[in-house]
Amino acid sequence: MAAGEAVRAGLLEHPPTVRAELCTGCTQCLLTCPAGTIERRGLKCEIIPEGCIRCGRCLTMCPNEAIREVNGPAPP
Amino acid sequence: MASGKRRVVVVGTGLGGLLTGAFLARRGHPVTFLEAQSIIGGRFTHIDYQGFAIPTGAFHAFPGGVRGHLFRCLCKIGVHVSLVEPAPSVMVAVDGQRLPLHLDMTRSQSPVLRRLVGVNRRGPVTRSAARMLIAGLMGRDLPAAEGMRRIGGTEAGVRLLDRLTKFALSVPAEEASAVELLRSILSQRFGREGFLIHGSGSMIGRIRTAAESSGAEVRTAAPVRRIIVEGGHARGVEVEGGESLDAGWVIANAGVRRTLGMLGEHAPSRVVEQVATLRPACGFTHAVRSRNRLHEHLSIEIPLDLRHIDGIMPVSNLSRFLCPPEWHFALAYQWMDPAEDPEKQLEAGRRELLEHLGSGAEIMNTACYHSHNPTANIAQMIDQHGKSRPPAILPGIEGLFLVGHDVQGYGTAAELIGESCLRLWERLERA
Repeated sequence: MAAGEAVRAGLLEHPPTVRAELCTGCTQCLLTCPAGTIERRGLKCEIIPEGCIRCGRCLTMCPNEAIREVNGPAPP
Repeated sequence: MASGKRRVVVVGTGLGGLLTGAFLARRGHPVTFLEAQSIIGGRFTHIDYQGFAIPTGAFHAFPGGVRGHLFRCLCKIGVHVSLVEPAPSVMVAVDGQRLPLHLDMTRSQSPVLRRLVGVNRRGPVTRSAARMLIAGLMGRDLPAAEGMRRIGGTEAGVRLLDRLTKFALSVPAEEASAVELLRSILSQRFGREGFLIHGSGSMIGRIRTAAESSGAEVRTAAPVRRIIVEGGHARGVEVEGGESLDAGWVIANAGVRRTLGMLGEHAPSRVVEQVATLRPACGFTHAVRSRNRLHEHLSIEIPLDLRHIDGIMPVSNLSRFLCPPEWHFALAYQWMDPAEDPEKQLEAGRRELLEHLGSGAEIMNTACYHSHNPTANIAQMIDQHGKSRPPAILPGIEGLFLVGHDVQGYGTAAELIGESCLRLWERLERA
């Protein structure tokens, strides 16, 4: 029976970014993102920071470790 | 009809009615939902307005998250939802700072917040709370604010509790029942706020689908005139227009007052008297939009410096699905003092809110619930604890069950509906 899922938001300090040189465009991150804020542009995935709830799921899902949290400022 | 299965009529499709109807439909009972309005979901749904998910009441949230009662209800009927639980659950805005407040017990609070509210060590606080709970259960309840002072709370601490009780129980801390609050928190196992990422309306749609796929029928614009009672047993309902529907069980989710009205002379006089003394909760919800980002965090903001606004939910930070992409969207709750002029409170609240959220913010809608509107919940007040909230099963009438926000139960905000449903479902399964 379906139960549902819960995601803890706000676990990361900032929205993570995709390192284009490591991304293979496999879309694992896109499929796991509960906020639907990852898009595939061309052959690479890209995180749209405005919609990011900073749960860190994409970070753990990425098989190429292409996603990392940056220590930059929070999005405007 | 399979043996032992009763025909069920659900009067009203608020959250409690829909959940209970879907539960019974999944267990093989033929269920008919009758809704007076043209939309289902009552105060737990939203209306799409120009792409903004404007709630009819609740803020797209489960106050107990995955540990709460509502989530358990959904598990029982096989409805899947995606919840976001912000960490921290609450941000206290005070003197230009944002202090995190964790609602789960696994995280300790920041020293700054602990100093501000004056509640420092966990051990003595737990012991005091346990003493208050036991005393309250024995009939010596006290206001939540008084309880806060007893555990060493400062004025800021009492003010914070006041905002939280208004947000969660629709009563100021000076009037909120400490036992009610403690039991509610305990019953939902210290669950933390969970936000429905696709909105409350989408969840209501899924519950409806679950019920309909189990054979239930949903009729909208079908107000019920009366509940037919014969020989102390609810036998069905009469719909406006004269049609009657027979039922083995009637689930009433139209508000206690209105249900008693539908019962006419069969309404138990003790409950009628009891309900007449109850005070309904009243408040405003403001829907705010802006082209600029309204918050930097994902948590419910409790603006301690404001006088009227109790909490702000940063909707668009938590979900991109509930407003147009070029906008930011937030919902604010304002408790209404029934003793004062609503217009003046509203004006003050709106002014304060816009000032707090900065330039670019505009209030696109303000909803108000007030007076004896059948859907207004009953406030969880000190003098109303336990003895005053009407029971789910009315004395002297068999086969009639009350669900919704104004029947006996524990839990903060909508969780109370889930708790009373779970208890009722256990009884119905045994019946």
